[in-house]
Amino acid sequence: MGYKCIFLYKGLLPEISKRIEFLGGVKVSSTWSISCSLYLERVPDGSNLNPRDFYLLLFDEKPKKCFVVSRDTIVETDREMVSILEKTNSYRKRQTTDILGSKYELGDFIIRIGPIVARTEVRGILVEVEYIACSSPVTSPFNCTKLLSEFINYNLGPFPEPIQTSYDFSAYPTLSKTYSDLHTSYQYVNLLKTIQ
Amino acid sequence: MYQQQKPQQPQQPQTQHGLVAGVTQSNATDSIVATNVYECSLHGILSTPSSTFIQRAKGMMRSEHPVSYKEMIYKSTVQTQGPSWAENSILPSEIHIRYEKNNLYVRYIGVPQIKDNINAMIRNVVDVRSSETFFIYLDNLGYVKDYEYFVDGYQYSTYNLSLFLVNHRRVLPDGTKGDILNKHSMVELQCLSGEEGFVAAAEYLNTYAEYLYPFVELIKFDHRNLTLDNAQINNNYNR
Repeated sequence: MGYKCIFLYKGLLPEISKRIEFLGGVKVSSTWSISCSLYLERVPDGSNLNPRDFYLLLFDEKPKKCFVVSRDTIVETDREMVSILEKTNSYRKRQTTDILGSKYELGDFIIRIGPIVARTEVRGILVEVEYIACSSPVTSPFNCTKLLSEFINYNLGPFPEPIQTSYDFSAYPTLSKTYSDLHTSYQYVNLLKTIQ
Repeated sequence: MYQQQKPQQPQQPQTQHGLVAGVTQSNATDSIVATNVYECSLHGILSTPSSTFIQRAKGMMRSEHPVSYKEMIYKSTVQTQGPSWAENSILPSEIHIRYEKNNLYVRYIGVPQIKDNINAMIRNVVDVRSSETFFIYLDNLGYVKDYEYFVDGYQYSTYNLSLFLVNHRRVLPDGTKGDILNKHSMVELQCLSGEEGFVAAAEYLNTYAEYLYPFVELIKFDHRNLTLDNAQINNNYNR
């Protein structure tokens, strides 16, 4: 997989769609979706304990997998993990944020856009830009942040502030040095936390 | 035990790694629909010579696989309400982690169902494949390791039925294999069923169990007979 940058677009959805199509982007899917749920520990009534929490992400492009972002680790498991969480009854789903949108192909880039919906309200427009030409094993995906930054800021902008394409993954020491869906999960949770 | 289980009943969902799944999913934003899968099993202790039993098992079953893995049982520190009859018995829901050839399999095992008219133990199971970071995640969830052991033996399979002939070994402090816990091998005959198929599954298991008699007597193991004292004894024995 390529390296991804995820950011919040402050404008309207038709604006960014037209922008991508103007650049030559071809819509390949209208049903791209992501779901991010916050799970909280069930603590006894009246307890002063801070409930533990974690985020569970479901990507429609990975229909058999789910990604769990907890305090200091990110895990990829089969989607049946959701069923285990329900059956053990120790955690409850607190809030779900859904993103349902479109996917465009534009040269070496794949752009996914869609409204962020939480509690039936649209909280913003999410844009995910993936640079797929760096998926070769000889090139580290982390080296293409500058190229991705130029593409986003010069072609999809202008933005009030430049979009940052490099991320600090140091809070999750178990993440591998190869960019993966686990890194993407962290990026999504990081972004969605800021708008909840 | 769920080593390389290959159920072949058409109504059962099956994951790509050969274990039966507990969930189907239409797409990422739809609600997740749990399709309950249950493990029906009979248990016994082999006290007759194993060579004769193995010959009989080979004759009845279609395939044979060696099994060898380490199993770790995690229990939640989060208190949730269970069935009232399960109080003071060793019946909390458990998460079993099987570590085998650098692969990590996770299995949720629910409390045994109360089905006095069905002659087999029935437990809800959900299987998941994950990676080693799952241990950290479990720790974050509030689960703690309760006990662990090594399992060595053979699995014999035919259609949707699996027969396990295994020995359990103690885990030494350095994580290596220790002594055998019981000089006799344990035999487990099991199959998987949906919510509607308990009776048929139990009949199926008992038919096969009859063929294995008198080499081994396979019975429905009733956890309600285990009191807290016995549980503690067993736990101490397994540690």
